[in-house]
Amino acid sequence: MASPLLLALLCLVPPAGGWEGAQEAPGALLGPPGEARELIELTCLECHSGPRAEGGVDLGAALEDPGRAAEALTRAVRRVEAGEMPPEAPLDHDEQKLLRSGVMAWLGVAPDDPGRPTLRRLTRSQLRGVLRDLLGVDVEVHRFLPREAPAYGFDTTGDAHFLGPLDLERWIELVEAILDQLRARNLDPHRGASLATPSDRAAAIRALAGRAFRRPPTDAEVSSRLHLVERALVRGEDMNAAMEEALRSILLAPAFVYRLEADRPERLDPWPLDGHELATRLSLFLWGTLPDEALAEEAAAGRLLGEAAAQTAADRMLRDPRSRWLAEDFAAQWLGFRELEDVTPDVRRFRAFKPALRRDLRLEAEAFFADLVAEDRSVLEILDSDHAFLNDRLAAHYGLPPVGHGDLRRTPLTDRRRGGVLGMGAILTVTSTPLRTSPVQRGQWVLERLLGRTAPPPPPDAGSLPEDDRQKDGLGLRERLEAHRAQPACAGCHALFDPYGLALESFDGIGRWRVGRPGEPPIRTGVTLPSGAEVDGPVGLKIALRQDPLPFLVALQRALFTYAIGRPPGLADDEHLRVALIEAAGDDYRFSAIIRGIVGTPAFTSRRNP
Amino acid sequence: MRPLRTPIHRRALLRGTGAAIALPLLEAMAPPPEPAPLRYVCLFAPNGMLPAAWRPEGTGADFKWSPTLAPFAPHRDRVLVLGNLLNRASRAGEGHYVKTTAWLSGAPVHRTGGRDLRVGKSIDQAIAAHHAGQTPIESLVLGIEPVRNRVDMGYSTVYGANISWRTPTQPAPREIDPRRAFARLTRWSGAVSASAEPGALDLVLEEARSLSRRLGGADRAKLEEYLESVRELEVRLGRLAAMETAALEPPRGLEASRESLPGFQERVRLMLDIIFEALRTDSTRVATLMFGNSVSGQSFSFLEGVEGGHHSLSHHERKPERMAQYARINRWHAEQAAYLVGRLAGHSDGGGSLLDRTVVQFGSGLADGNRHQPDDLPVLVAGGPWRGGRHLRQARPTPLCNFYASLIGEVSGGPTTFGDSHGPLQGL
Repeated sequence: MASPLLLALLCLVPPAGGWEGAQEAPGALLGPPGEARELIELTCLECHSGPRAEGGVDLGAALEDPGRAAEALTRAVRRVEAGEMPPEAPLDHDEQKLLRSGVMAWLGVAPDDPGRPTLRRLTRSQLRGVLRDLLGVDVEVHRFLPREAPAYGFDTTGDAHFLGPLDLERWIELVEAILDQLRARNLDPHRGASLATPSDRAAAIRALAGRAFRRPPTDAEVSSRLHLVERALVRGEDMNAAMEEALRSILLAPAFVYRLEADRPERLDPWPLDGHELATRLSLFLWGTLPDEALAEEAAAGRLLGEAAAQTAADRMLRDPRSRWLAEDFAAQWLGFRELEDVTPDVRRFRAFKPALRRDLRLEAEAFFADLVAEDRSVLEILDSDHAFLNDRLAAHYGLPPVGHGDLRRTPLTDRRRGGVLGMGAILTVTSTPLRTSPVQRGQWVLERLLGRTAPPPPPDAGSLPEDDRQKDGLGLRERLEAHRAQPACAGCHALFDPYGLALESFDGIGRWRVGRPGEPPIRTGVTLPSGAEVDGPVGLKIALRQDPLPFLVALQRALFTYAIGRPPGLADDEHLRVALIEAAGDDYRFSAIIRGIVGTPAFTSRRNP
Repeated sequence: MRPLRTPIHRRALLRGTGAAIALPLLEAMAPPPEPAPLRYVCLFAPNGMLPAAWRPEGTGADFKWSPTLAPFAPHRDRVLVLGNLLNRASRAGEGHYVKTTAWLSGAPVHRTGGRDLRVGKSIDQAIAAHHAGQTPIESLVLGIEPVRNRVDMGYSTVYGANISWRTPTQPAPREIDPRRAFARLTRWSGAVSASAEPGALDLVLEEARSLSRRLGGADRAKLEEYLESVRELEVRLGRLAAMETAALEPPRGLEASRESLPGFQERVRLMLDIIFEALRTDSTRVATLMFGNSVSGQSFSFLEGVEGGHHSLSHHERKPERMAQYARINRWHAEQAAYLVGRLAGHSDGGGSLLDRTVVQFGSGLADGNRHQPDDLPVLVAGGPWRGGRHLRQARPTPLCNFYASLIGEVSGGPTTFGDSHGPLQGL
């Protein structure tokens, strides 16, 4: 199975070394290399220029100011390389190469460019684990800090991490709640260290700040805090209250709040992150918390440097139970089951949707992904697997025989309707509306999340389907959607995603298996996919997705990359990810192999100046 | 769950201020100038307003209330319905996001999934900046729905969740939990004396300064946000001593909401009451509230005859039964805005009512939800210095920013320009 896929991978992007133009320093180019510019003008601008540009993609404007249009140009290159553009006459291999190298040159992107993610804050989800490891407290961080605004689909991207006055107030409240809990539970943040003399106290501060800042603190960072403590003692405060001054100023410090990585203005080229920076990236990515002692020791000893070291460390970390974090945080965002807490299925229509079910649905998705990580299974099982995580409540919900336990356990499946994310109630619920399923939303979910493509925006006058699928005229949702698609303005785009959603119509708005109601049109799930394949129902859809898994694998890689590194992959990263996927193919696409591919990119292990 | 309380320990926090509070701030402690300062409240409804049900019949003083705006009838002489205003820059860009996030600035919006989010400073924040230093809180920025986790049509959902922008690149943080919004008011109101002990805040401020000198690009900008927030907090704490505000009264139902997050309707009502309390006590002079985020699918099945979510009903396809439901949702929003207007009108403030010196803006960033166009926007203004009781329709399509230009002129006594305005709004 791997070999035709390998072949496809090899063809996807021109091999390294073929990046004419991109090798030159960005400053050396006064304008876009003429040939690539000409190519775009000749082949793209007829449709993609001006205020009425097709799909809102104005490449004419992008040519004028490429720096401002990096996202649009990157998407354009990838769609051309996928053979989708121009629609009538896809570019040949050489033209694609020319386009890619031209755009990379305009954007000033060199092949080994690690890019530059924007400075990130610890997210509120990460903070919970960080505080537990740092101080032994368990604070409901979500009561103090709001959900981070996401950028590129993940809350771990710094671009949308704002810290306005209100956010700072919230952070201070959180710090005070932490101190409250330390007092109430009589916890010692210094783990029994002696505080008898000023130098003892300095050592205690140094140790605590080192863990909190994820690197050894500077002398100034220690002495300024010691100063606060000593002054408090002079004021007559007791030792605990005085030491709180140091703790407060550690928890409010930019070095704790932000994931700072140093710039090196003297360097022209990218440089490898230092051990502490790399350890922090790894531990927040894979565990959502601080580096453990082993990792910190590796870092301090200077052994944690570069791709190979990062990969070795990641392998160990994935075998640690803390890697469940990837299920709770990464998968919840990527697959969207985090939104289970926001959805509101109609209480009358879906009486079964009780809080316990809501919780179980989420736990099922989490357990499935956690097991995939822990057992290092092939990521293709995300599309289809022979097991699910069930308890009696979920089994009943899914119309399966009782499993005989209340906790979620791995259960072999005898048929293929469930198994994999497409049969999960969590996913099927978050892609439905309160009163009915939404083939459009489900189809877009498959397109965006599993296949890594975005649908163009609907025209303003698009119209929509009825709120309720029980309409008096007896037409089913599918028939209405078909009528909608009969309008030429709608047909093109809907053909890109509707079929996926329609194939899933045998699941209702909260993920139960359903057959048509008496007196209503039967549910039809036979569809023609954009690839031309004819499939019927979820099982057929899963088989089709498994047959051509490349788009899925690339989508997963890009999602992990964005989540881990804090920016979506750019053109320079494509080649590294492509090679990584070839290596993962040799390891049956095990989860650890995919992760090795992410932490082995220059973007993960190195940094450059702005 | 813990009881509602003042969550920042004042003593602890204040120890962190002190020496850094510079003397010139004393100037800010002067009593507010006469006449009473002009306050500003903006209430944003997502998904547009059905034009046929919004637009009153007739113009000038002889207009007839439209179905959507009828709830304002009791306040007729204080209300201006503004017609034929457009937000030209937000014509670029499909869907809702651009029109929501630039509603209060008229600025062009940079299309991005995250990198380089950019809009423009919004009118509420410009007014807040004008009043800076005179109230404990510069502005109260409220919402109802949490931000959603996705990129839609190439736009980060940050855009859909923010109408108030402190700077062109930084949204003003919102509060979406009424309990926390009120707790924050409580925390800041009342006179507190600051100790002169430099502490944690000074220390981290200094560290952030030295770090930001060593970082470049977007990282430095992020760290400067932090720096600015710490600095601003110190300044605000420093001048609290000189501020006397009336005692706050918790809105009815707030205590009950402690056990669980109240439902949508209760949440909206509590937020409106909190805005009223904040203005009444002069804890702030600027407030914005988003009844929902862009593309909100909030279910309005609690309304008689309405079945389903806001956004999908706003795509009414010109079907009468869907238009009727959409208009009913629009009217519900008008009822909420009219409720706040009524509370402000009913509270005496010096010689008149609180509404006399408060401008309440209500409306949406696009006109018809079925079409998304930012032309002939639904905008209603209540209170403030202008003569009400009129449907003021501009002869030609006119920048919405002309209204903001008039507004900032009234607030500051300074020039009347804002965003893409051509000048003050004619006829106001």
